[in-house]
Amino acid sequence: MVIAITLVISALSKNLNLFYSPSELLEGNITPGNIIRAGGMVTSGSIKKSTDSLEVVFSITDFKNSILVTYEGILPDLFSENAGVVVKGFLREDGSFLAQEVLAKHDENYMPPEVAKILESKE
Amino acid sequence: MRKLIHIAPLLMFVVLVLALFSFLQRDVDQLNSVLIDKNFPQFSLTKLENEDVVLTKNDISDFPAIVNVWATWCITCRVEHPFLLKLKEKSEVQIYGLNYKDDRQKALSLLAREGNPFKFSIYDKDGLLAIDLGVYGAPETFLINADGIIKARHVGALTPDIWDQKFLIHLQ
Amino acid sequence: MIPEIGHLLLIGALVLTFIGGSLPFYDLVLKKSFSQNYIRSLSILISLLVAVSFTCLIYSFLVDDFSVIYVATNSNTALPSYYKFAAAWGAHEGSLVLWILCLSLWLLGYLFSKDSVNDHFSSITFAVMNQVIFAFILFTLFTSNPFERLLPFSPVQGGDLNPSLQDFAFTIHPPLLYLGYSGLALPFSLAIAAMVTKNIDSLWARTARPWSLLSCTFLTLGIGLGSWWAYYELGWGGWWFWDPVENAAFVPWLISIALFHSLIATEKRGVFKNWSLLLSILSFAASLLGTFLVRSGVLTSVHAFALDPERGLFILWIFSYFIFGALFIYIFNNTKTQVESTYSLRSIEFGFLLNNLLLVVLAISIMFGTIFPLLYEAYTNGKQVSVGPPYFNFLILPFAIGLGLLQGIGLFLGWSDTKDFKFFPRIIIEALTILIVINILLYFLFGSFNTGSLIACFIFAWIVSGNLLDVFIKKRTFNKIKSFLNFRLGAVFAHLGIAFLVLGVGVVSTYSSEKELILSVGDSYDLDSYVFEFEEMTFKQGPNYIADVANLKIKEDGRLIKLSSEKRNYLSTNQVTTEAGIVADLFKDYYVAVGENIQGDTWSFRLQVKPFVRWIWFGALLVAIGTLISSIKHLRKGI
Repeated sequence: MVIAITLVISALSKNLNLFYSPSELLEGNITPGNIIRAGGMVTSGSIKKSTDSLEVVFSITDFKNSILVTYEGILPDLFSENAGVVVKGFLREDGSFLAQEVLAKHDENYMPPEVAKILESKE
Repeated sequence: MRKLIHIAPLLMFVVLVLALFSFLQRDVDQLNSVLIDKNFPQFSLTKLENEDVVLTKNDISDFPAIVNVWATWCITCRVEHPFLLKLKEKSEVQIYGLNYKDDRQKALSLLAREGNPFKFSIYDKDGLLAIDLGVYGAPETFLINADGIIKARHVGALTPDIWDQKFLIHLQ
Repeated sequence: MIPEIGHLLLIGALVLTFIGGSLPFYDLVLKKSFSQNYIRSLSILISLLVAVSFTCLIYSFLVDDFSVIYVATNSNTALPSYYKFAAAWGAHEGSLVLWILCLSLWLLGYLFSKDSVNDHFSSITFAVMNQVIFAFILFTLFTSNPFERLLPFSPVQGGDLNPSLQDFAFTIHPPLLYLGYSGLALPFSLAIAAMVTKNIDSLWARTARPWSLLSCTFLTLGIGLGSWWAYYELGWGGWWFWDPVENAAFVPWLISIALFHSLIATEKRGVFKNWSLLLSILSFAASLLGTFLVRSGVLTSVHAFALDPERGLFILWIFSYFIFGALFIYIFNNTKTQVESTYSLRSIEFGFLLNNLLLVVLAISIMFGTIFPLLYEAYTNGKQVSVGPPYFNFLILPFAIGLGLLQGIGLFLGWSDTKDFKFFPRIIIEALTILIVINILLYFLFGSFNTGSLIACFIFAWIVSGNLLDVFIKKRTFNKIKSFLNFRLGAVFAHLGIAFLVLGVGVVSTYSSEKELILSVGDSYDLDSYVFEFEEMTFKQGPNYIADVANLKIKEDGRLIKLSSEKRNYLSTNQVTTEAGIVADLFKDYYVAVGENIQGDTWSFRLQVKPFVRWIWFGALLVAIGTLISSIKHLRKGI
């Protein structure tokens, strides 16, 4: 039992990914390099795709602040401008976000709950 | 001691359920609280009925009023449509529409076909005002009282019951 | 008219289940036991009402009755008939009716598997099941009525069934899963009946055993199909995501396995009685909690239904009523008498104890990881957090090893003590032999040796020797083998299934290769000596979508394999989905998903080679077959 609890706690402490909004990311109290998740809306007109690699740069916003996200890989089908996305990755020294994973789930009636909450809690 | 062991599972589940209850409760409150007791947000968008007319916050001037978020692709909006029409006839409350991520022609033809309960509709193609309102989806309805302050919000179809329970108390 | 009939029938079933759920009270008040005469006919009637009501819903879908909100939101005229049929349970409201139907069928099955139902035990079981059905009908009618009409203006055209759900596996995945979930209500009801009638004995355990096995069969099939669907439909090539909804099914599965093992010991030796009772309650609690997590929409997930705190609250009330009620009864009615049975550390009883401990602790840890984000958010007032898949992967490893080791020796252990440990060196030698053979095979197949899969291969070898190989070596004669298999067939199948599953998981997570890249027509890419060539791009017109189809060739040792992956656009909702191109042989899958158009003839691709991935589902299938065999055997033996 004790072993199990120790296992759970150690596994949990290593694999908790805190969730931040772009504004919180800019406040600067997040250590670059830690794996975190961030979410917001993809700013319209911000998606820049490379033509010879899978690198894509876009910015996500909570309508107060926005932050630049770099990702290399295939984007999910539901990814588009003005869609809510959740990105998982880490903050780089220059303040931009390097995403290892991009999750988009958005239709007209639904957006990721975390993103909805961020957009909503904005005054 | 033995007794205690048999009660333990019950206690564990009580703690779990209480935690989940409090979470749900918080969620309900949060959904209601964001814009409540605030002014309607600023915006600048075209009128659904005439794309050359730009509407702003000042155009929503007759209070008390409700602002109803709707769209042609939204099936549930059709459910509340008859009620809105009835409301327009019976009640003093002004009804403003917020046409959300929709096609202008489709929206206008729907209103022509099924009746138009709205004084006018704001045409929000990209969901900009909807974002400021924290709209989850359509339909949603906001109640603005006689002083121009948002007093209630309802997510989902507006029904007579909800009108009586949630909205009417703010109008007296 | 038809939807109104469906609605009325459901209300009729509500009334009947209310009467059924309170039958024992009438008996108590009237001091008679007349209720037993009616429970079979009542349960037939309830099943019939629910079945016809569900048929009404299906009918509304088939005739495109868009005046029904649920139909209008989940179907349109362009949808192929088969999917219209399946759309009836494709979303929340309809799936609940199916759920209710499953519950009433379980009850029917139970009542008619018995020779006679003229006893107090049966009528209590009947009453508890009726209360469960009643609660779910109430939930359906009040929060999620699928028959609600959209009048006077009904749309001419409906919305659409979520495109990624328009798929064969996904149409039968929910019914199987619901059968499994709802089946756990039966052992729960039996446990209550045992406690209330003070019959916590081996007869009760024998009655509950086949039903918990059967629930496990359906859960296994449901989870397996879901995993297979995710694999080929989502376009990532992953087969398990530790998604909350997956966990919500995985946890009851684990507990149902613990339950039927514990019931064996209770039936044969009279031990672990209170533990078996608790597990019966726990398994139903896990099934309800899973429902809560999925239906309240409190968790982010690929499958989550829309956020609806009201539904969540309702389910939580149902949960509280049944689980608190059951645990209250348990506090007063558990067996105080201690069985005078002693067992040593080398006995099968102790084996079952370890098995149960591992399974339940694992289940609780997974559940904890799943709801931790909720608790964290509630506690920190809104700070959001997620628990990543590494948490679960890290946790499950030691438990899987422990359970795997137990499975290898389980069948050799005897009640109360094991006298003969000669089998032990034998299966070690056999397991090591198999291990070497497998690794040689892997080396030839993939040209490399990978230590990461060593543990999985060893567990596979260990279980296979302990459950099958050793029998053949030791028993030699055909008759002896036959009698062994007669006795143990289900267990052998299920354990071998786990062995294949573990092997599949081990190999696919260490030998897979993957590359995301850009290809123009005519380009080729060499992924671990398999050459993928992008041949051409074609256009395809489907019944309710249009698609760009990427055609590829794979060259492997002179063989030429063709496959194609589609980028579909579903017209009515304007949703884009990816259909992966998959070609499989016995040892590996080629998996290609087309990404987006970069320019002209240039597209992005995800290329993958996934060895042994199919063995995972093959293993799950064996587990389902094994539990089904055991269940039927015990049902046949009569009660």
